[in-house]
Amino acid sequence: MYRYDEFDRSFVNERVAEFRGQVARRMSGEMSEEEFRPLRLMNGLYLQLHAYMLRVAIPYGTFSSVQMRKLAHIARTYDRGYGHFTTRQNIQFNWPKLEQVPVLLAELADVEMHAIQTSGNCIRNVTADPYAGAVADEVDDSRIWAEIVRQWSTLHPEFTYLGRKFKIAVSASDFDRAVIRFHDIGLIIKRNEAGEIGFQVWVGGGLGRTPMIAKVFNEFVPQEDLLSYLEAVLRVYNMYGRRDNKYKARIKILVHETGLEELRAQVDAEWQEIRNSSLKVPDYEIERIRSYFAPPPFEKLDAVDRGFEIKKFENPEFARWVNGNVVAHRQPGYKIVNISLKPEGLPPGDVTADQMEELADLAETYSFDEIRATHEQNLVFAHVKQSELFELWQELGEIGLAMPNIGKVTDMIACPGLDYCALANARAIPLAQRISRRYADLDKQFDLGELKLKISGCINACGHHHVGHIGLLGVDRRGEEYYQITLGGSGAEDAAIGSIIGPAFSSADVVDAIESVISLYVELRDDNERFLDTYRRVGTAPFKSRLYPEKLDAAA
Amino acid sequence: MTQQVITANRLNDGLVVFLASDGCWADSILDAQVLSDDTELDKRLTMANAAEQAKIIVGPYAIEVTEAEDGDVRPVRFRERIRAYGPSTHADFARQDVPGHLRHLDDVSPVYFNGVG
Repeated sequence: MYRYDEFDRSFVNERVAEFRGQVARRMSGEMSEEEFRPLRLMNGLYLQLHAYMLRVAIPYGTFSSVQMRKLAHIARTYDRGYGHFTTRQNIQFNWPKLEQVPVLLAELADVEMHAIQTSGNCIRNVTADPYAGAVADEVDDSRIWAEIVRQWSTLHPEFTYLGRKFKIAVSASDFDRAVIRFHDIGLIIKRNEAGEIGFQVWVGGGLGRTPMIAKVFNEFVPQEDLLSYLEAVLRVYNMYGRRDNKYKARIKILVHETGLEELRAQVDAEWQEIRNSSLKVPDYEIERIRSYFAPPPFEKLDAVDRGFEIKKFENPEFARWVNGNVVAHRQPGYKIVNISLKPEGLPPGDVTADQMEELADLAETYSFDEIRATHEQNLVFAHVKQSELFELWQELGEIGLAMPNIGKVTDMIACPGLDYCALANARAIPLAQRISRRYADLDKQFDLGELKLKISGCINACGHHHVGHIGLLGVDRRGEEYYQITLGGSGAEDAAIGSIIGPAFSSADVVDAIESVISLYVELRDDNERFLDTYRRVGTAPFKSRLYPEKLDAAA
Repeated sequence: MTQQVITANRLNDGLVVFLASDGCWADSILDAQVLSDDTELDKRLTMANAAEQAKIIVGPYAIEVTEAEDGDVRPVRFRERIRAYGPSTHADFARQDVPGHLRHLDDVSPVYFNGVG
């Protein structure tokens, strides 16, 4: 794992001291809320519906047991005993007191964590494939490059006051586990014919009120040119991106309004100016960063473990969890374990302080002391010995985290919604809880197979509803919660923006409406066909007529 | 004029508060002063703005409420009800005494985390 160097340590400590001063000036009245707001946002601190909310960065989603224990301590000491994992590999605390935030941040700094650039109009926490360094299909470990991007983007003086927030994600595989195509910049690591590493650069993706799929700006940026290319994109955006309208200020709008060819030409022109500058990433620096992500000391094991096979045979529940949550590792005898933070009926992404401590212990025992957060609000133990899966599963079961529902209908993304968020129009978590209860039957979930359901409480789309196979968007209809259904979205390599299927449903009716959609899929699907594939084959019409039969009657 | 109360977030801990008739900021909406006169509302908003200057609260504003005969004060807008009563999903941190707030629909039950605080 990456460890802070002297530079990292000193700037984080300096930042904590600076924010301590800013909080003191706010509390003493020297600074108004208007003056303080942009400063607190730069340090991840929001004022939400009920209280302040602090968003802590987990760069590329990788953290250690020591860090997890610190998060547990913070949840217990400065918050209300829990934390909430977000869709950008961060964790949020919902109840910190302003007067305690400086000391909270100092405690985070002790374990090399901070909340810098988790909010505000700057380059946000860089995200990556949660299976990095473990999965066989990757070209390179995406965390190495996410770390290089993190170092470049942290406190970058030119990009601290952008027109709007800017999000970068890195992946290294044909399978997109990092929503690459819906980031301001998505990087996919490639290898050319000469075996050299470079980046396919996607620009201008995003969700929110104007969802757009990113476009490929460059098929192969050589590794040493990565930062100059990113800088060129950011410069062009910073120069020409709109600042007259918050809702048109993201780079996706600039790409859309300027056009791919012209904007690409502008980026290329800028790039040629700065390509051979100090932004060139030297090989020794790449190797230095790479060394932090060296594979852990794996044992030489057989690919097949007889004990594991027997346990699966003897224990169908364990077999189901393996089937649902465990995926292949590139090292024989090891597996990648997904830990679902979607137990039946509970808020997606929430973890209690007690669970955090247990998870820290388990990661230490079973996964080389390392934990990953995913954009789907789950956790990953990336390197678990096959022979120890049964023990891990049992221990996860004891803390209520052995739900085998990864990728299934109850593995929902849900934003905090109106229960916490000052921007929301409707609640998301209670709806997720109701759906989770409705589909509690695991046989049913496994029969339905992969089904990505995503819920946002407003059009800002933090719950990624546009890219849900089934997406739900909360809207306010004369003070009542209604939910609009979109179908056919995908945030993966088969990226698509879902289509709104018709008028919104009341909160009382929406779960039945979802069940109608899913039942129709079951009637229409070919063997083993995913919901998304059935939808793509049959189109919206059958779903419309199932959901709105009265409209058909009216037309007849 | 409709009935209104003045609400804000407390500066030091961010929690939701309501302006009471004694000029203090109360945690519960039941202790809020219900205003039904424009002049009085303006006067109290001025007082609230002074409280913001005095570093007590952040972002005061008036919300529409209904006041029942038994003194129960209920925000009209759904958003304000959530804000006044707490998240409907983490029961430990929500008002338990508001009928329907935690059991808004039959198939949802509240979550208890046994959290601190």
